[in-house]
Amino acid sequence: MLDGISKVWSALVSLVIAILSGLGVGSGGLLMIWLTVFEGLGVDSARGLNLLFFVFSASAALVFHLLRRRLNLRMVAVLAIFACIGTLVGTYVGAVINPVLVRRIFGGMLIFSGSYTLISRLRGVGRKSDVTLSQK
Amino acid sequence: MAQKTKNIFLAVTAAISGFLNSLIGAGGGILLSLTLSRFFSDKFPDKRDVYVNSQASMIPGCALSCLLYSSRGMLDTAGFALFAIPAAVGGAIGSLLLSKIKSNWIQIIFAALVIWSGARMMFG
Repeated sequence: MLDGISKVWSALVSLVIAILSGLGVGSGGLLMIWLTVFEGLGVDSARGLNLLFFVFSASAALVFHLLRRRLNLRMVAVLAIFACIGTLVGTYVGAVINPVLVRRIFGGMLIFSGSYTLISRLRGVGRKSDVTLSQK
Repeated sequence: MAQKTKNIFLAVTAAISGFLNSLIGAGGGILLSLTLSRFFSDKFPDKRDVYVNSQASMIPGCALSCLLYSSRGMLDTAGFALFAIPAAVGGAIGSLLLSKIKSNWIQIIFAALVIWSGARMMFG
């Protein structure tokens, strides 16, 4: 059971993560990390809550994205169908797989995706600096 | 790559993204975003639209995954109210900020945090 201060912290952390999610940089499972490392939840419980959290934050963001951004609804519908097929398989595999293995796979995936994003973003900053210098 | 091949590749990637999301609880959107930005950049001149489209594509799969986990008693939503309101409010704020701020530095900080978190989960 969380005490008052922990509840405030959890609410603030989830708000920041949801803002990142709405910005499009993705939450990358940050809530899952918060729940497992700081709230002491098991990977299984945190995994489901992280997905539910994403449904809430992404759905709220989608309402505004529909008005402001360029959504290819046909493509989104097709991708969503295939993602659901993958989900069905993943959910059944997830029910029988070792949670420690899931945690390791997840950690490895975070390192990979984080490194990829960091390198590509830093390259982007470098390219922008080059353009700025050449323009000067 | 021919358009038909690209479409098949994208569909397979979407299935793998759904698989990863339900198995690990996160990360599927990243894979889909990477694929869309690599092979379908012509459809999305503004890169922020890639994230928006991949995010929207993952919502039904995540909802389905939640339902399946819940039906097996693997999803405890007892304390979720604490996260639900900040999730919805934060998502809305983020989407409104998206058009107003450059996300490059946010992504750099975020990526560093993700690497640190990944190392903690893998070796901790």
